[in-house]
Amino acid sequence: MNQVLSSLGFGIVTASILLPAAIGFTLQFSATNVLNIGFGSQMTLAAFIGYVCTSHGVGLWYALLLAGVFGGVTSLLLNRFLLTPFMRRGTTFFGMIVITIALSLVLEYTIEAIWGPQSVFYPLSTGGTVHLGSMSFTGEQLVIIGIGVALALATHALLRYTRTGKAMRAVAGNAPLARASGVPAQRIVDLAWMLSGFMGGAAGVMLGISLSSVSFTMGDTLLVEIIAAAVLGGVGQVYGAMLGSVVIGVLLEESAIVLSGAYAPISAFAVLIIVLLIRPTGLFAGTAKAKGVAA
Amino acid sequence: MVSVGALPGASAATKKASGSTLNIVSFVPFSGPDASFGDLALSGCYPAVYAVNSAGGAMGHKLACTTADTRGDPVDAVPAANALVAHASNVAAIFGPSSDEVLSTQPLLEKAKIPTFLMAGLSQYDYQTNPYYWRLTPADAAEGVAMAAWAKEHGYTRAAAVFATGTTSQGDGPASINGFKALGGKIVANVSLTPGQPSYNTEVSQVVNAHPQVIFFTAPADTSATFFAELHQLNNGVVPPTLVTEVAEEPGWINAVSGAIGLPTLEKQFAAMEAATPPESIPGWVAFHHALYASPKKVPNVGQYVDDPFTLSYYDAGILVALAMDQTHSTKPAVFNKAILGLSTPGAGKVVVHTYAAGAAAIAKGKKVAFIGASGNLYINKHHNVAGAFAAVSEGTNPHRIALVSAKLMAKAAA
Repeated sequence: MNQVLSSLGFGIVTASILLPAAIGFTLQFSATNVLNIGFGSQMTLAAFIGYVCTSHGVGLWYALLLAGVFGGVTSLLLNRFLLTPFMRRGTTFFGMIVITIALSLVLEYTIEAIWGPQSVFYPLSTGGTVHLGSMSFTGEQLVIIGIGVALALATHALLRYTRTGKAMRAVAGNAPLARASGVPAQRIVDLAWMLSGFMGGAAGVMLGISLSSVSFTMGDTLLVEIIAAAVLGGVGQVYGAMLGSVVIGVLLEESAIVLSGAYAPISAFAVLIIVLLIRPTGLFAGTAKAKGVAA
Repeated sequence: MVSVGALPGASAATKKASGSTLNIVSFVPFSGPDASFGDLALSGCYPAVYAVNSAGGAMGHKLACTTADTRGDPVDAVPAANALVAHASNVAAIFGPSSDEVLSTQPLLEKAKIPTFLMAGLSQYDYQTNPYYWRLTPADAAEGVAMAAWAKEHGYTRAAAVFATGTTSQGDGPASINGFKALGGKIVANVSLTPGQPSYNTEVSQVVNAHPQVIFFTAPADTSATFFAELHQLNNGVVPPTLVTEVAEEPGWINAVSGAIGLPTLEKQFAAMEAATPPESIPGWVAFHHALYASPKKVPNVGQYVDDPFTLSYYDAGILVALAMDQTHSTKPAVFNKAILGLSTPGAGKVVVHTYAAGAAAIAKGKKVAFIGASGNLYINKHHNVAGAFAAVSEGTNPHRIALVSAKLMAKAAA
């Protein structure tokens, strides 16, 4: 039982990293119907910007903020100058996926070309751990949990209580109708991509802290879990992505105890498949159905 | 038996190479996480080619070292293998592939029918039957046996086995576990790490709670960094003595793990099991050492390779290939490949040589030759594998040999 509770704690840390990543990923989809496979590489690029900041004396958490800002700006620019032109030309859904795969490869190998194939590191503390019952956390892990929860709450507040958030929900639900109703759809789309890039950038640094190293392939290794969390919750559903992140994060750790480390990724996806068999649109139906992506 | 051989190029009658250039292709990663494998292969190729060309080439042909980057990726390696096979007419030997890409490229390289000197320690090749495949360094499983023997030798009775899933751990893991049990030890935790996960805290806590005296470990660099960082944190700053394999001697691995837990901890608590190389006094090594520094082409920081078992094995492989061509009077791989085994095995009536020049001269006089080079006597078995002794080597930026692993305990662990 102690091991199960201990793993729950670790799962909460993993979920806290997945939270902003999955929210960011699903925000992009909800705004523009683009399944951005390059999201993992964007996270990695932001993580390396965070490394550049820390190697120049910037504090770790300020570096996280700067990496998030960098992620937001690059995400906005990528959408405006790469993806939007293709969408305007009528590129199909799967064509856009291929473009984002190409983007992922270009970013990944550009990162490798600049920083090399070896890992780099953030300056982490060597302090002890905090014990909460059977759960143990380092100082950085507690901050990661705090940031993950804060970003989720901030997203909730934005979507629920601000005009901008309501406009984003309107565009996600039905973009032409939103436009016709006077919602500045393009500005909202830009904002969605900026926010998603910020989330991804922050998640990139959080992942680098958790892994204790930053490498040029690190974002891609988490991408499958991010997509799983987003799909589990319902593609395009921000609240679904939050729930999916918690489920996937905890499952990844608990299955290592119940089964074995070798089966950890498999078990998370087995649950995903079972859920989709029962509810093909994910736990929260809505956007996926509206966009005709899921049956 | 008569032993002959001084420095390369010392033959009294040096013939001049006049035929086309034959290539030895290093088919290993030159980029990506395992980019260091490329220089490892070239570090043996360059001195071998220098030694052969200095003595006039093989069968009148100069040799050259060329490269084919597999990127360490089984998918990316396939087009590289196809390109190699398509232009195989002037390829004398292949150095590689590594464990990263051997399985995906094997069906393609087999078509080329070229002597292929594997850099892969996978257990699939322990009893292989392809006549063109050679492995002049011990298999991964032998590293696992060495871990068990070293742990037993140092009085450890409780070990945790932590191995990454994937092909590179197939041999080490089971061999270390079974070997340690055979020596009376107890495996208190047996944990698998799936590379690419955001955290291994659960697996770390399993190890910590088992209170092992020693850890047997193999995993890629990034996975290792994450695991040991979390172990360091969850175990109150303590990392138990840890035995690792040769993969942990790569600069990328050392960089990743030392960045995660600090270089002092790495140097103090870790030891790598490495195929032992013979003393630097043997004539074959002396000749290799001369060629390594005399060669006009060198890999960066060449000094770190003077005692690397892969470097020595590839140097020997290059010399054996050239001597095989001379002995069979043919540059066709299908013809000279058969001669490699005999050339590496001393026997009655054979002249033992330690350089290409001496070997070529003896062959020219019609004598049978046995080459004992930088690796010492290779003892290649019928599966074209070698057994080899092992040593424990310290981890860190300045590795040094700690001691040889007990051969007696290794034999008992492997039984």
